[in-house]
Amino acid sequence: MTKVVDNVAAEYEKKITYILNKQKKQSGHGYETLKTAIAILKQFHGDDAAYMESRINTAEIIYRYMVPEERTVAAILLYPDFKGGLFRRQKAVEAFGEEESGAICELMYDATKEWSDDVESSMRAADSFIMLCICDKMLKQLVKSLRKKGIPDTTCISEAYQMAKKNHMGQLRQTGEPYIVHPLKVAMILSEVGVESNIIAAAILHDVVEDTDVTLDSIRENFGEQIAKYVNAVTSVEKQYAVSLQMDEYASDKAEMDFKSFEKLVNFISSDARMIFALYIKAADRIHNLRTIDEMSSIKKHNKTDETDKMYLPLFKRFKLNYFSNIIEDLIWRTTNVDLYNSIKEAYEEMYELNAYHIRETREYLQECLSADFKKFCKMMGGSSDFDVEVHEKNYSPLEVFNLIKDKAAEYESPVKYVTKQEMPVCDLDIVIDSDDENKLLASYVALFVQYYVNHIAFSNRILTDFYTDPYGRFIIHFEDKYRNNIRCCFSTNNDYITYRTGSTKGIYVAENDFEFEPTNEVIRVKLRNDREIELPKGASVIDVAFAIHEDIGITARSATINGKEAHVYHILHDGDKVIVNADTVKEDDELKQYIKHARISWLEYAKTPLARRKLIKFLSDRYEGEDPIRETKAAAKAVDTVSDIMMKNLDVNPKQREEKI
Amino acid sequence: MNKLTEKHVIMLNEKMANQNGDTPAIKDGDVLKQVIEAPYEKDAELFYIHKNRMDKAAVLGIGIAQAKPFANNNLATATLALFTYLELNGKKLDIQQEDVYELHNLLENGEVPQVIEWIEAHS
Repeated sequence: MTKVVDNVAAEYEKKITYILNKQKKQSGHGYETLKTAIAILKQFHGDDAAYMESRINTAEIIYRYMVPEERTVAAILLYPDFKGGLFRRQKAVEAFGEEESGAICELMYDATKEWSDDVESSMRAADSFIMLCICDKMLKQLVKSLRKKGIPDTTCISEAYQMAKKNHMGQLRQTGEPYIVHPLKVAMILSEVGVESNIIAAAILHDVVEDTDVTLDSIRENFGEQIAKYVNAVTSVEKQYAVSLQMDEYASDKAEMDFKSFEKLVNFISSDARMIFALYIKAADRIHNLRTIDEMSSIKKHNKTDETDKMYLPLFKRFKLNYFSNIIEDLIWRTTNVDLYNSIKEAYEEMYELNAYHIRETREYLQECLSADFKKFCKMMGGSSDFDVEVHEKNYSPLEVFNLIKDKAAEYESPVKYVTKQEMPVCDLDIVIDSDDENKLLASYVALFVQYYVNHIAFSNRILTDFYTDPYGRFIIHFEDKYRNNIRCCFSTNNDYITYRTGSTKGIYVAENDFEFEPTNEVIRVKLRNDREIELPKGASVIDVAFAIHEDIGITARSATINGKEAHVYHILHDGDKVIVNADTVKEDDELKQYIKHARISWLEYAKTPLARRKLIKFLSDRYEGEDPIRETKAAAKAVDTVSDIMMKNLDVNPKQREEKI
Repeated sequence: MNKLTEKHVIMLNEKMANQNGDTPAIKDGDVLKQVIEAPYEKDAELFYIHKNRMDKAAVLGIGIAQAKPFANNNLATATLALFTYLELNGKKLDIQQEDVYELHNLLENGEVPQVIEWIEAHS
């Protein structure tokens, strides 16, 4: 018996050294807090090896999957004793010091809220506490990735997370994890597409009304009308409906209620075009549900996939949410063909990994050729070279792989046999052409590319098929690179690519901003020399005032006196300022007049009113005479030709004495 | 603002060569480029040094006449370029054959202000 205990002790000692090392690496200086916590734990439970092991195990798991703060781990190690009364606040202050102990005790207090005498529920509470720590980490990652994508305003997301965390506290998913994981994962799926922060906040809150006591009104109060509307659209009618029905009827009418929820969502979308983003939330919700469907009972599983397949998927496809509908299709296929799915996935991943380096090389080479050499070629062939090219790489999902090979595989054979680079493309290379020239058809670029490819790149490579179009309107060519990898090239314009990826024609950011039309009614009033008041938009400068008085004063303005103080013409005005513009004037001296015109191109940055801008541009274009780009058009050459002919007919431009010939 | 490009000036030189029975040829391509760009020079603040069409025409004419970028017919090409440039940009000249010889003298030996004066006197 003692031997077993010794073994256990030896094992957790190992783990202690592991976590201490990890902490030391992380912080770079030391692990005092953690060491103290472990010492206290040993002091209390040194005899109970099993308990020690369970606590140390928890700490180890945390270190393996995340980068925790030292005090969080200390709290996780000690909180059962804190609740049990062994470890008091006084002792914490002695061990950790004033500051550190305060933070740790707070964390422990949070952790023990769920505590009860029941052993099982307390264990579950401990697990959920760890998961919640991981959730906080996930939120940080989410916010970081959004900042990278250019969405700096993430306060509503953090607030939404706090609200959801508070209200879902104690609820568990069927997988056993705390419920808050689900809305967070949904938000993460949405962030991959790139949507505005208020939609992500709505995604985090999407189950709050349905599953907790929070009402829509409180969401409206805290987060505004828009987010409340999104949440309302994706909340199923189940809760409201169940009240009006008897409980036994409730079960039989589940299908009807699902349909009612669906109807509600469709109604929302048809009433307000902005509500299409509710559909995004619904799609992301479905994706996470289907990903974790294995934990459900088989009937529920069937119901869920059936509902998604027959009701929601056609809707997502109708609204061109291609990115989501592809994933959902794949996941639905997975539920019916688990073995095939897994084997295809495994085979494809293996094949891809073997060729990943080659693909990367081909992609980089293609990007280089297309962004420099191909442009020259286009120009040579009489096309325009005014476009940008980007090459993206995209892997296939198992369903896509299956669709590519299913025609080849005979009925009695396993399709997995055909997952090789000789039989199917290894991956997609999306070639996105971004051109301002709307008239230029994509097909002409593709035709040029084929010519270019055959003449310039394809020494050892060859094109396998003619180009054809797919349902998304992309042009597709299969070609083989020099490593004999079969690659599918998909040409699309920038707009089409965004449509293909996300479903919105102009890109989501733009679409969302289009709807939010707010008239700018922020106006400031300033006083002039003769106490005349003029209205200007917010952010206007002295230049605007000067042009508002007179064009000449605008052009010759040198400085200004604002509320009795000298200021530059770039000075931004505030409401109620008294402005006197100091302009230079010269009378009857044309030469000097040139020198008092102070207007410069840099003034355009500070001129806010349309009047000032218009006059400034007129003046500058006169001054910057001939600024137009040189146009070597045929018309210009013809004009020079005819004019010079007339000149030569009328006059002899040859000198009296001929020049010496060289 | 219509600009005379390198191509246009070469075309004018070819015309003069055809008229006089010479072979058109460029003596120095770099000099030609400089001469063509000279009217559009900018100062440190990126304003054009030569502000109006008369200045620009004079600079162009003197450039071609004095730098001699072509193998032959430099003076004739300079004169023709000056006239064509002013005509294209809407400046009508009122000149007789005698005035052309006066201009030749100015282009070969004079300076920009003198040529501008001549243009102003004959417009």
